[in-house]
Amino acid sequence: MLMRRKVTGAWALVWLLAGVCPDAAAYQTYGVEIGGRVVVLKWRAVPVRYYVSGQSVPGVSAAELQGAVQRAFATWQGVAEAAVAAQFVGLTPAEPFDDDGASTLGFLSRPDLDRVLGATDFVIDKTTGEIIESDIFFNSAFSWSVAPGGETGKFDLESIALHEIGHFFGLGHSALGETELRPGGGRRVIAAEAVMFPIAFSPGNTSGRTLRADDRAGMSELYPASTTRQTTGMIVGTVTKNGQGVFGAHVVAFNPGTGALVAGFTLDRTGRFAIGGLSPGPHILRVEPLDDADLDSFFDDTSGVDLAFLVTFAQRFGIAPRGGASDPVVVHVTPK
Amino acid sequence: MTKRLLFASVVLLACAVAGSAPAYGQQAPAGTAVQALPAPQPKPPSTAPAARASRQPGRPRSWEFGASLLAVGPSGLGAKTATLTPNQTASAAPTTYFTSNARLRMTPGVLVHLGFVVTRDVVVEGRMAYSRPGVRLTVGSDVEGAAGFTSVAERLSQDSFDAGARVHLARLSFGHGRGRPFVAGSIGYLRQLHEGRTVVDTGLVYSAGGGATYLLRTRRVVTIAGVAIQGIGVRADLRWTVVARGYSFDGRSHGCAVAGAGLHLSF
Repeated sequence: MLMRRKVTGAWALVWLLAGVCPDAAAYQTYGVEIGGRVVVLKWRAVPVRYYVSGQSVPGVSAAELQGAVQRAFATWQGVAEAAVAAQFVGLTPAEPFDDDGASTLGFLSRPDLDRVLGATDFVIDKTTGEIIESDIFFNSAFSWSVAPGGETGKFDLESIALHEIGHFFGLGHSALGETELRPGGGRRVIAAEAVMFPIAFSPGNTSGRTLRADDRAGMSELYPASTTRQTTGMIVGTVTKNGQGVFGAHVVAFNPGTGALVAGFTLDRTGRFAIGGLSPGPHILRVEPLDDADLDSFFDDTSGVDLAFLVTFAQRFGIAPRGGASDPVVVHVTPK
Repeated sequence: MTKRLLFASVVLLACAVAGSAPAYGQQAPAGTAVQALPAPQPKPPSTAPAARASRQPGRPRSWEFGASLLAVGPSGLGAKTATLTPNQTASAAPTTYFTSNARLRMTPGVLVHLGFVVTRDVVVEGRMAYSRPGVRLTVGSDVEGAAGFTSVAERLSQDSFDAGARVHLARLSFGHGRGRPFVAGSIGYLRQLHEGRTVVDTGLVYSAGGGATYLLRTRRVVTIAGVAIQGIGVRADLRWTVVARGYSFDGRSHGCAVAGAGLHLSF
């Protein structure tokens, strides 16, 4: 039985994997409830075959769209710790989100979605959680560019493609970024350290073409390469406030030896978290409320997400062992 | 003493045969039978200089073993800033997420060494040291203004194995030669085991410095398993130690002072 689920750039429908499998909860992924348990959405067979729509928009031809998409897929395939692969089949006259059994990427005009640059949807096998088809559209209501250095006033297509292809493979959003409220509503990114952050960089910025440690960790957790489990480690623990677990806290692990930032969330009401895909060694842990993006960018059910606490650091290192999980770290946060 | 007795016996014997008294002694009465003196007995072995030198502590081709208590000085581990990519042009500086720096705290340790005396003034030695320094972490400048802090983030188990040489400065000896200053240097391997004993960092350790040994006793002290301990002394030294490629925030070498004092045995 097939089911279609839509994930957009601004509104992400995410099923949490709370309490099912601590390893799988290391990074935000998509899941579907099957027979009372939640199964991770992912492709079972690689390489994943995809088509590119032959439509062009002002400033971007169909061939340029194809080139940007291929470069974005290649960037994900270049993650050494992950085993993902995709194969371009050809240009197609079909549009994304057509129920045609083919994974298609292309432009769609959606002026009604005035804050959505792109969106990804899935057709999944509801009995196994396998992704059968995934389409991506780029909203042609915006101005786009594929210029190597970016163009003022135009969103970088390759950066947005890289983000959406992360969803295509099953990754959810990362909260590793800082934003500020805009006078006219919405938020503007001040800085971010994950391509999978739900809010894009400003037009003209091409920084989103480069994956960060958080992105690579997420993909390696979802599609681990043969040696990834043996060469990386995980930090586990809980976040508590007044003795109670905190749900929905954002936990960031910083490796001072490498400078890498990798993050996760507390995914249940006991406040448990697990951050995987880490280089072995000591990490500084920072816990903060999820107040830099809309909560529904991260959780399907946002009730119970606790935002009423101050940013807190763990006083002791979380030490990720090679091929295993750390001793549990407990971080006590202070109420606002 | 031995030589003179023999000579007197020979002279007396000669006189008895010749029938005349020695020029420097009384004449024996005529007709007195002269008895030959018994042959002198060999003297038992005594503390002759040659015998003492063969057992003296610090003699060439001898060994020494020692143990010391250490005071391992504080050492920086460097600093590292967590950064976010700014939503600006590519040339913009990264946005500080927060800053961090760490130091190894001063800590006691222990050291054992085994030395081989090459010459009177040169000793090659191997050493093994162990300590458990705390890592003092300081975090600040948080992007959202979170309070900074300083804490002991973990405790390392640190052991090193090195080899080097010690050269005594004979002209600066004191205490009638019992006190012997030296300069020393070594190079070796360092292992730093993080808390939880699941992650280890390794590196090279270099040291250079000086000190002095002082012999407390130079006579045979005791025999253990057939090995005679020829001398007991005390030793103190101060070195500057540099760790390269070990645990750090900044990937650089870091140094610290290490002082040691203890006993050593010569055999």
